[in-house]
Amino acid sequence: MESAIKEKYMSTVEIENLVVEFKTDDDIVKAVNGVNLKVERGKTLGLVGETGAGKTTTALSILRLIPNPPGIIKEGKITLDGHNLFDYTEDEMDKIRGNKVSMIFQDPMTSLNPVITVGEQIAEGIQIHQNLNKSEAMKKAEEMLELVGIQKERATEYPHQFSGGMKQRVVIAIALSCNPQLLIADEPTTALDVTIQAQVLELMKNLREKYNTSMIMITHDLGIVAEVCDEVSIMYAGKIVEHGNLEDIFENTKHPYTEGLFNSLPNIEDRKSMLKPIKGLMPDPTNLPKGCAFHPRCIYAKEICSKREPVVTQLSDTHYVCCLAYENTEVKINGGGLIE
Amino acid sequence: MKKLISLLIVTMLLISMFVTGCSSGDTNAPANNANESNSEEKSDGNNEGKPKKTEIVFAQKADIVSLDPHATNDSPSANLTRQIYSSLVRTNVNMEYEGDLAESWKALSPTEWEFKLRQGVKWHDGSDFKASDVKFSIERQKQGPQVKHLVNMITEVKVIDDYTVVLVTDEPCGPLLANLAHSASRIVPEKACTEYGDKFAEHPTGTGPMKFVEWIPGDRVVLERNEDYFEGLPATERLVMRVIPEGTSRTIALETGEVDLILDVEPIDKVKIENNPDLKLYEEMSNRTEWLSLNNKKAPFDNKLVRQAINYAIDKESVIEVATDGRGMVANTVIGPTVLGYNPNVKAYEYNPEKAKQLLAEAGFPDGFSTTLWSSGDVRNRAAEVIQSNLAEVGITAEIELMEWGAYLDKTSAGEHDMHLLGWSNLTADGDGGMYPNFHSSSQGASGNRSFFENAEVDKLLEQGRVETDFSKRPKYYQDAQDIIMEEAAMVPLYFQPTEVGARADLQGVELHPGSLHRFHMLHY
Amino acid sequence: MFKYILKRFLMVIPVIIGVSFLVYFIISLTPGDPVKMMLGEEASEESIQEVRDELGLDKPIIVQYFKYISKLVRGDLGVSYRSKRPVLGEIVARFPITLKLTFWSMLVAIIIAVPLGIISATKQYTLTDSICSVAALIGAAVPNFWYGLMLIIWFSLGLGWFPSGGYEGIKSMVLPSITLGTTAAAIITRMTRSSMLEVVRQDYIRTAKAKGVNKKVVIRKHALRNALIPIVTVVGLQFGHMLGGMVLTETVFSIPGMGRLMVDSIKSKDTPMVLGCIITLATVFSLVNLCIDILYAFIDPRIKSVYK
Repeated sequence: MESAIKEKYMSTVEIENLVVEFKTDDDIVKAVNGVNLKVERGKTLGLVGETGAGKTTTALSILRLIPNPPGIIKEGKITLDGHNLFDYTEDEMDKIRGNKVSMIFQDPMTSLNPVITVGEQIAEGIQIHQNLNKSEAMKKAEEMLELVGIQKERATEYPHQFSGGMKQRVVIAIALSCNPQLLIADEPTTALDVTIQAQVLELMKNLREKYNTSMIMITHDLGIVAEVCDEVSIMYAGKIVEHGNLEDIFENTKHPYTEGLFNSLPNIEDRKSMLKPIKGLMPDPTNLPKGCAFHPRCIYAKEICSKREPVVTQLSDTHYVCCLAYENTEVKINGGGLIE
Repeated sequence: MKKLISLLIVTMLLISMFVTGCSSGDTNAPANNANESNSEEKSDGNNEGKPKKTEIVFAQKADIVSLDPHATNDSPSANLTRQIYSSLVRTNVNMEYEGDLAESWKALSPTEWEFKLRQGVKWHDGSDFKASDVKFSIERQKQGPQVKHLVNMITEVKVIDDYTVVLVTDEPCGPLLANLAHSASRIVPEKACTEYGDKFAEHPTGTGPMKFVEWIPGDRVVLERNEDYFEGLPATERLVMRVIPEGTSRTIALETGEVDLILDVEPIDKVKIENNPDLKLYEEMSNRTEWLSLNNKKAPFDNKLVRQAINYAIDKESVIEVATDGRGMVANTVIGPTVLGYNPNVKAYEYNPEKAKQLLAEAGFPDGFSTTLWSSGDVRNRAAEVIQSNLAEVGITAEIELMEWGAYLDKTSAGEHDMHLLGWSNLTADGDGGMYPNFHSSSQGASGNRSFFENAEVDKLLEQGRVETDFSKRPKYYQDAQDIIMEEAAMVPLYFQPTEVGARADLQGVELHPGSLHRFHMLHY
Repeated sequence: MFKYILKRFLMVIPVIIGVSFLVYFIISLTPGDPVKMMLGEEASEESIQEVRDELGLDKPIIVQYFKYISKLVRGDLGVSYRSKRPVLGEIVARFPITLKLTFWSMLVAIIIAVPLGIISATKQYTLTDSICSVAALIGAAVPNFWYGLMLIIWFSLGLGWFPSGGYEGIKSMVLPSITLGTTAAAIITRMTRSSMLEVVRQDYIRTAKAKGVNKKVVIRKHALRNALIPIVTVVGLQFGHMLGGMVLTETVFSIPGMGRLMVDSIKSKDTPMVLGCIITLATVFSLVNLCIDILYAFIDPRIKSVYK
């Protein structure tokens, strides 16, 4: 009983102190600077942040798909079901990719191989991981197509014969074909129009429930987070700056960056009010600011913010934040949450 | 369905290319297997206890044009037709006339020559050689545009009996024997020619020591010996001519033993052959003269003093050294020592730049003048450079213009040049053949006189030489003509060229002919 | 697709007409008289004129050209000025040799170049890549005939493994094929490398890897086929280049192919033979291009839809 409960609540994947750098001829790009993540079985973690925050790099690290050169995983540990993925050989990783852990990428237009039929592309993974022969795998592939709402007769067609939304469905079919424990979705709907977006999200939710898949949903769209995720990690300049469940993040926003993100959303009720963007730009990853990486853009920043890096402050069981304001310093923040 | 058809068409296209690509090689293989095994035997260079090679391979730089001796007048073809056919008379290696198909001859009158023919000679197809064949051949030769000039003067061929003919000429013809000995004046069988008509060239039938086997265009000609040859069994069992256009490749083929003999040896390879103990270089003076032609009709070359000056200005030894690597004999006159009518005592123009400058000043060019020097081909181009610097020393600035061969012949025939480099191969070794086309006023232009030299006295002498049938009297005409030509400095003779052949050192029976009319039926190991 | 192929076949006809027109006129403009060259130094003016009349060479160029075309449409390529033999016969005897040599050279080129290009691309920035790139550069820069002569000196004269020239049996094809093949390989390698590099950066390669597909299979199945289009293009162009430029190799190795035939005909202004050769080359090249274009359709299904 106890072990079953333990198993139910055991994390599928856990990332500890991940540091990833990209070495170019002149500079070192610090992409991921000590990230800690945990995804529990059957749960969806939203990984939120602007472009360049390091979200995709973190995700690719799980699958060990960081191109090397120039990327190097300097530190850290990623455990899947208790095993450190960094200990595996390449061949062992191949058994995990597409099988235990699957990934969906951002742009469906370029994610599919243009010269291979859609059915074959789905069947490929099935053949490799489930030891079926070609025709059996193809049958399963056709089933997957039906599952994502595409007629199975279209299995012999090529990607260029499908629209953007349908291509993404195919990609989803590929990702789920071997029933993975963890699905990583990297901005899966960003390239699609809004109506299709809704369909695809609905599909993903249904499948997740059906197969009890854990999911990491990478997005910069807070609306999607609200709809799909159980927990949220906010990422900035390669670090997690705030983490909590939906209530924590949406109702009890603590980090100035998160606050800024919410403030950047247009107010649907007050069409005339001005947008409040976060001033400044994402920092140059080859030359990160000293101290807190956000301080140049933070409205609450004090001198100490440029000198000392903040550490994790646990606010509750589910909620933590990385900000000097919560470390009993002289930094003060008036309230948290949305500005009315 | 349509997809299937398209796929089928593409596959067929690709397969057809593949198949033509693969199969055409095999049709050659059986004919050449013998050759291959012989070459492999030869290449280890050790002669002891080895089966003797019976197939002799020689290489030349160009393919034949035709094996019909009356259809062409180029030397690559002549090298082969010489082995297949016979003439009435021929010249031996000492440039003496001897009978080939004719046993003897005499002049019945200045315009009538009687030839007694050999009996019992068989054509390669087994039929008998008769006088009617001679009549047929000469009349046929008169139809061929390349070769008719040799026999045009023969108005009638009378068949007296099966082995006697009388040739009637329109005027007394001094060079008649020379023309009959020319490579193109071959006797062909009336029967076979009439039978094959236009296709005679594909079934060459002669009375010569070698019989035709096959011709692979661009690659080789294969001959085998005529067991019934009237002069006795040829030593060469099988003779193959291979076309190897690149000079270095020819020499390499000789070095590896793939060929046994090469013609047209590159100047730079001559030393290589001499230094190689497995090879031997045969060299002999030939009938060829190389000269610098001056356009007598264009100023300032219409001035005799200028022409003489140029003769003094050129250092012929240097030209030979640079152009042919030292292989050549300084020429003081326009025909070589092996040619009938050669005059060793013409006015000599030794290398004397001072005298040249003097003459130029006398002619009205104390500071020299500018002109052009045309050339074509590697050897002549090198000669041109030496001449250019020689002329510069006496104040003449000559700009060298290099030309492609066809254009060269065209333009020099039209007289567009100032000076150009050319030569003349005297195949008949007769003064008439060497001088009439080059110095008679009627030959100006394409016929050979590219110096556009015109001198009434020379004309008369050459015409007289042509109709004089007494061989003891003929040389004088040509010698006198040379005196005038050299006094007038019509052109600058540069050097007499040797003929050479490279061969495997142990190849027997190699005999060079000064006219490069080499016969290859006595080659063996 | 079928209609497309048929259309392309028919397009060969205007190509032949255009090419023959151009060549006819260019030859007529060059200096040099084919008859003078044919008859040699010793021929007389009357002989020359006689032959010129016989061949109709003094008629206006346009008239001569139309006469040629009217014979061409009946499949009669005329008779060579030089050898008096039918042009078609000579070409049929010698063109397959050139074709065979081109074919084997192309095979050598592809066998060397494609794997080398792939290795170079997958091992980018390593020593292997640098070595391959330098080798490719040298291969492209070295003149063909020098390289051929060197091979003859080393392997024929030196080691005696192969004949130094001529055309008998498969052994005589080896050195010339290597000569031509390695030069072409240099160019194909570079194209393979750059095409592979581009493909390997594409998103769908990442998708394949994320599926757990083995690295070698990713290269072979996913990357290579996408990289093929530019490679196939270069191969087609090289084939045509080789066919036309065969003469140097044929000269160095004394191979009786059509390259030498064509150059010799040009030198002696043997117009019917020149035209015969060039028309043959143009036709074959057009057909090769057609095959390449059709091949595209089989490699990339997107192109196939365009043809339909």
